[in-house]
This record gives sequence, structure tokens and C-alpha cells, in this order.
Amino acid sequence: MAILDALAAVRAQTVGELGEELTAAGGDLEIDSREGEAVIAMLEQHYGRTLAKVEDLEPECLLSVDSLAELIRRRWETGQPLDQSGSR
Amino acid sequence: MALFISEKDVSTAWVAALDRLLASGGDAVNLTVAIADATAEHRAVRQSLDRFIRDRRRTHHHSVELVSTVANTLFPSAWYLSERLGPGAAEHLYELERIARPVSRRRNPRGTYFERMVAWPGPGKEEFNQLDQVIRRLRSAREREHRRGHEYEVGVAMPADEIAVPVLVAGKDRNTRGFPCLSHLSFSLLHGAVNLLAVYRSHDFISRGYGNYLGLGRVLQFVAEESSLPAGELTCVSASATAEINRGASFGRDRVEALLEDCRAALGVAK
Repeated sequence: MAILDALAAVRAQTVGELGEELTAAGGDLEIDSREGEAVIAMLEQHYGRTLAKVEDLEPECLLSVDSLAELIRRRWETGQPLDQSGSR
Repeated sequence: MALFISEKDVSTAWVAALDRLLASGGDAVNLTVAIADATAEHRAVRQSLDRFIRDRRRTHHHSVELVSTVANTLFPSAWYLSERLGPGAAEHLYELERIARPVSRRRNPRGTYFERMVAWPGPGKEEFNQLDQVIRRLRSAREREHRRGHEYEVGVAMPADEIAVPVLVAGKDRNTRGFPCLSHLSFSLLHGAVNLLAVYRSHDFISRGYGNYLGLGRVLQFVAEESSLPAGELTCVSASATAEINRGASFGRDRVEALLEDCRAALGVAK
């Protein structure tokens, strides 16, 4: 699952529709911080590991698809396994 | 002494209430603010307040939150896609809350107000969706052509029994400060419109007030839309309210007065 798949699910759009919006917006899209939280949660469930620390969840850190992608890249190596409830 | 404000939108109400709070020395009991349309605002007022908050966050990162962040704890509007999803929008909203909860809990370890509304923690492990029950009862009232509902005027009640949305959980919320400051929501029906009363035990008016009114307005709009009824008035009672001169985030009188002046100018209102 990629970030765009998860964001499309949050926005109840197809990935194609979201891709068109992304292109029209010049390659990046603004997101709401709660959309960002939902995307991170979906990716964590899919991959079974944490992808964000508490300091990553400040609203200033979750402003766009690009900033979300950068966060996921940065935390990918250091993510911890999720417990059964989905939390750390 | 209690203060009473009645205004047409969130921005005008918040500015008027802050003005009255400052005139009362900065603190008040039973601050009651009624807002005719609690989804309407003047963007310039919000921008002034957010600038003020950003200044503080540069040095005290976790002490205050932007308006949108505060409003999002009450109602995450980005998750409610009523135009796109129609009758399925509420379930999509509830599902995203369930999915995002483990991540949201990292930043809000005791949960958010919205979580309390849609996943109220019962005595066992079961959760109860209070908003869904409110909506079902209001739909039923509409179908029976009831335009007024005094039977909905309830105080503290178990959520399974009444049209009320308690936020405090007995035996769990023992902190005298911090979450949850919002204690209770009560919906009522009058002249065919849904109205909302929210009760705060304490209210930091600059750090939280504006975002709280906006978030509550969105909760009211959501319940009204899902019930196919018009939204009425939001009334918010703060048992104890502070302009945070030397309480709450302790901004100091000069800075709070300067903020009020900025916001008045944004509204186009002279002192």
C-alpha cells in the first residue's frame, strides 16, 4: 500500500482521481492533519510497524503529501512492530 | 458574576466574549455564549488568533494549539464527506476514527473529544456511539413530525438512555486540570431545528475557545445534516473561563489586549 492508496481511501476517491488532482496541483497536495493521521494508521496496519512518533504528529509536520512521504521515508528503518491493538 | 453573549457567528461571539472577560478582570464564572451560526466565521479573525498562537508555539511548542487543531479534536471535518458519500458519509467518518485512533492516541493519550462522542467507554470494554444515537432519535422525531422536544432536555445521563453526550467518564477522569474540560453536550429540538448546549467545567479562552466553538458548530451541523433537520443555535456555558492573563498559557495583559485589538480590527469593529 502506498501513501496515495491510503489517502484515496481516506478521501473516498479512486487513486486515479487523486493522481489527477496531484498533477493539477503541481506535484504536491495539501492535506489536513487528521487525514495525515488516518493515512499513517492505514500504512502502519498494512506494514505492521509504527511509522510516526509523537513529535511527527504536530500539525506543522502533516501539511502535504510530500511532507507525509518524507516522514514515512525517515521513520521506515526505525519503526517498531505494532502490538495486536495497533498501538505501540 | 455570569456573563452572557449572543452573536451571529463564531468570530463575533469570541471577540465579544474576550472583550467582556477582559472588562471583568480576565476571569469569569458561567460565561454563556450563544452563536446563531456556529459554522460561520470571519477568516481574518482566525488568522489574527493563529498568528498569536504561532508566536507562542515558537517558544512553548506544546502549550497552545492552532484553531484548526482544536476544532479537529471535536470534529475532524476532513473525514466527513457528505457531498461525496451521501448516506454513507457518517459510517466513513466513524470508520476513519476507529482506524486512526492508535495514531491519534500518541498525541492525545486520553483520547479526543470526538472519540468520546463516537466511542464512549462503557463500564466493560464495549464502546457506545453517542452521536449515532442522537441522530437516530432526531430522525425518529422528524418522521413523527415533532418540532419541539422538551423530553430531550436532559442533564447528566447515561448515554444509552437519553439525548445527551457526556464526556467525563466517572472513575476515569480524575484530573482537576486538562482533558476533558468539556463535560457534556445536550441536543434539543425547537421549531423543527436542532440546537446544541455544551458545558465546560473550565475554559482557557485564548488557547481553546475559538477552536472549541468552531468544532462544536461542526458537531451540530453534522448531527443536523444526518438527521435531515436544520441546525439551530450553539450555546456554550463555561463554568469557569479565563482570558489567560496569568492563568492557562499566561500570556500577560498587554499581549491579550493587543490580540483583542487585532481581532477587533479584523472584524472592522472600533472599540
